[in-house]
Amino acid sequence: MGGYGMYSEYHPNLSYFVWIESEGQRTMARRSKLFTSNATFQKLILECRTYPSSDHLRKVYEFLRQNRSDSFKVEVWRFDFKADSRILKRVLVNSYEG
Amino acid sequence: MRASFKKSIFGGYLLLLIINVIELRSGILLGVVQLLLGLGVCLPKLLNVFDLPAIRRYDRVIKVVFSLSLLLGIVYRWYNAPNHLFTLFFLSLLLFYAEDEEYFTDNLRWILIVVMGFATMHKVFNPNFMSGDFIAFRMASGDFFRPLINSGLMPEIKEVIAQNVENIRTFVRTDPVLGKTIILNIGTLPYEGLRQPFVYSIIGMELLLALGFVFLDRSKIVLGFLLLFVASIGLVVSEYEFAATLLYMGFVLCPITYRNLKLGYRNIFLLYAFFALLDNLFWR
Repeated sequence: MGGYGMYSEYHPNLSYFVWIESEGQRTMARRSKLFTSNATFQKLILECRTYPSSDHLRKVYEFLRQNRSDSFKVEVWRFDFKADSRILKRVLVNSYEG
Repeated sequence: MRASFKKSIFGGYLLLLIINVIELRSGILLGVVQLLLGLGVCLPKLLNVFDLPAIRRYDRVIKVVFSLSLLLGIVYRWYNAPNHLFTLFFLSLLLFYAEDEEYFTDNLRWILIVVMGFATMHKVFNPNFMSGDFIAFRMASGDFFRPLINSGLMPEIKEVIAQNVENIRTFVRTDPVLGKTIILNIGTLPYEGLRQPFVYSIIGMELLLALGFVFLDRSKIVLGFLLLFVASIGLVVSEYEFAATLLYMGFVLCPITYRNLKLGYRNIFLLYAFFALLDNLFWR
């Protein structure tokens, strides 16, 4: 039904982020050059962000795998806020490593 | 179109379509196709000058292709499809294939029941919402009560929220493992006192609306309550498109005998449609 429970939980557009991890270094997919220059990659990232299933993460991984030989992980993180402490942190939602 | 509807129903529908197209959720190309086909369907019903034999001959085909273009927009960019685009698709099918106006309005009522019912359930089964954490986050990050905050009536809170927004923006860019946490400042923001009442009042209102439409049908009290609920959406969140969609449905549902209520629906629908256009064209 398109999700008629809006404003019930963290919105994927604003609170979910796809990161690529390699040798301890992380790059946010949305801020990469590939995201702005490649429509296919952009679509895969947006799908992954909205529905971070292992299958969607795998698709991003396989897309990147075509041009990379190093080992890397695809991770999806989201915000997590606790009202009492007012602490905002991020929690790992899912990750995929070939 | 099997039934013959009032011009206001088509006029409102066309305005909703324009709002959805301008939002570009289906992309530019598909958006243009949706708009042109939608005009082909609606204009002959609104203005006699467009009631041309050529359009009449292909009326059925135009409606099918138009409906498919809306569906394609949802399927192709499902990750970006908003609630109101789904609703517009259901409204289109009803408008094209409803037996009569009574059938149309009764289905609108059931759409509202489903929308409000699902919204209630989704919130009740979501611990993050029930605890008030989600509401508190939205308030502290300036997503709620934006018109009030931007009005300048509460300069201190506005400054605190602007600082939070900046801190969140920086936080987002840092490695999630390295930049572990930040603390959001709330200043004099009365969120401690607001969040739980807010949680229960939202759930209560949505549940009452769902039950009201089930058991009281299109009574004045239910329609009045829906108008108050939806009209207040714009003060809390900038979801003008969704609010306009619900107001359109309320307008169609409202019997002509509730003259003032119907006028209220019409005027607030037009206001929110205007806000939606401004929001998509200039404010974002």
